[in-house]
Amino acid sequence: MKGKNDRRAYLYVLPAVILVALFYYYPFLKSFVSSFFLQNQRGELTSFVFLDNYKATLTNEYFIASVKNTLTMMLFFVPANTILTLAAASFVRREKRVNEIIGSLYIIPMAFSMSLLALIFKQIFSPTNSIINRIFHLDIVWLNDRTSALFAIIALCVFLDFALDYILLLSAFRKIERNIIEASLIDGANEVQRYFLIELPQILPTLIMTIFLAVKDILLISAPIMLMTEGGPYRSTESVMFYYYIEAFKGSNRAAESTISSIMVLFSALLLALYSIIQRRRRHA
Amino acid sequence: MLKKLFAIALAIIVVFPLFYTASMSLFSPRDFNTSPALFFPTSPLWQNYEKAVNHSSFLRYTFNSVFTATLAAVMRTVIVTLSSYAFSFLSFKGKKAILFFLLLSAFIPQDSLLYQNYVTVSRMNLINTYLGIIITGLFSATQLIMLMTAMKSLSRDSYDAARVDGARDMTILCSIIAPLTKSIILTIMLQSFISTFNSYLWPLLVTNENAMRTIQIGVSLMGYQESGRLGPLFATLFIILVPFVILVITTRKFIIKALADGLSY
Repeated sequence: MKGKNDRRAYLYVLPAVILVALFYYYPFLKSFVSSFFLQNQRGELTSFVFLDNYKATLTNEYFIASVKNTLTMMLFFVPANTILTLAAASFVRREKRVNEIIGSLYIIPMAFSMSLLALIFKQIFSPTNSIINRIFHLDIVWLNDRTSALFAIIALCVFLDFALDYILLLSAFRKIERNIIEASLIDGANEVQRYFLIELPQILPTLIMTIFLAVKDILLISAPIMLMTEGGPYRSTESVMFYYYIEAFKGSNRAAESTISSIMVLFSALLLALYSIIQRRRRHA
Repeated sequence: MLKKLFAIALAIIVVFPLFYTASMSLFSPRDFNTSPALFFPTSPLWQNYEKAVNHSSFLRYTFNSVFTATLAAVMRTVIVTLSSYAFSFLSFKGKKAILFFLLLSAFIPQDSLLYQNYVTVSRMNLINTYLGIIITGLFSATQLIMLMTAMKSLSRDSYDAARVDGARDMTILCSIIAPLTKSIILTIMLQSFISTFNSYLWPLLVTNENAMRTIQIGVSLMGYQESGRLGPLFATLFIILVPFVILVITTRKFIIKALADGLSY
């Protein structure tokens, strides 16, 4: 087989290569190159300005606010997501009948699409008569100020990512080999020790994966904001990608489009590279 | 005991949006305006479902979604399967480089390329077409990894035997390889169907004719929110949700296994 050249293979990989070239590399390179130029209305490059577009974007007050909002959401979303999904998976990790019933309820969020769930959450967090207020005896005018709007958006995101992360963590727990757990039983480890000293370290790679997925998801968030708050009130809940969307499609702001696009691609690539390095280190350690 | 209570509390929170959608789908306009908010309708208004189903655009939006999701699922599965077969069983010059080129795309988030992709697709005259709705999502690097891992774990013996007998690639793929990797191929199809059916932002950008809208966008265009008739809106949402809830619960063992195998890269 070695040294043989199966020419027809090119035909089989061609569709994939064309799609990737056209809808991944080409748009990225185009944005990246354009980010160093001025553009006219038709999108043609006029003059080389090096980093001026970046300077303009990075000093724009709405862009800075969008970075702050994205980081704020990340600060609350990632721990909330991690704790809740880890708790859910931990609760039902032993294969028992009652756990199977509760466990099948935990994957129900998977049935929701983002846009439908956003419509439902908008009603749950209604500013006029919210069911949340009734349940928890609160008196909050939801979505009417930055804090409550961000809270509602984060709640939506937690719900959206819940089922997938839960499934990943649950299957990690269930893949732990029985003899490891049995050995700890013989050693006389109690329930708590076994969980923290034996089981958690075993599922750590999966936990790291769900954390990175959460960071990536919140870094790129835009549509949930579009549907829940449209960036409001008074542009106070705009995320970076929401700002990008508004500038690119509503504002015809080519400088913002090309610079933010380039920054975000590089940033998420860096994030994924970091993830691969961490996982590889762990595997070899 | 405390653990059980937390587990159940979490389950209640997780199920609440589904329960509340079902409940609100039977609300009258007045129920929506009652303060404090109601858990159950004062008297269930079944007409909401009649209105939802009889809305002039409901069937069209639903058809568009099901059709594009099916088309995308089939096309993506074929594209991923063909390339996975080539990388797993054939040898050709530049194989490593091409594979690297394809897999590196997993590092580039399409969300941040929306505008440039929109320009490309509109230059290709694909605005307001089914192909335009699905074209940017017809390949997935993670799915290629999933399938390649499965194909490479197969023994090469049956492949080599078939090769010696002079069988053609399509025969080998369809009668030997595909049946052995059936569960992964089905997972890829299911994932592609669901992700296309659920996508929102891209179909919103590449369609502007009402007849081409998908249901995810369509529900907001049916005029329920503007006219304050929220009952039929939630009835519509519930009708869309039910098949997916059933699908998710009945195939959960399969989904859990597939995700666990597939995402362990």
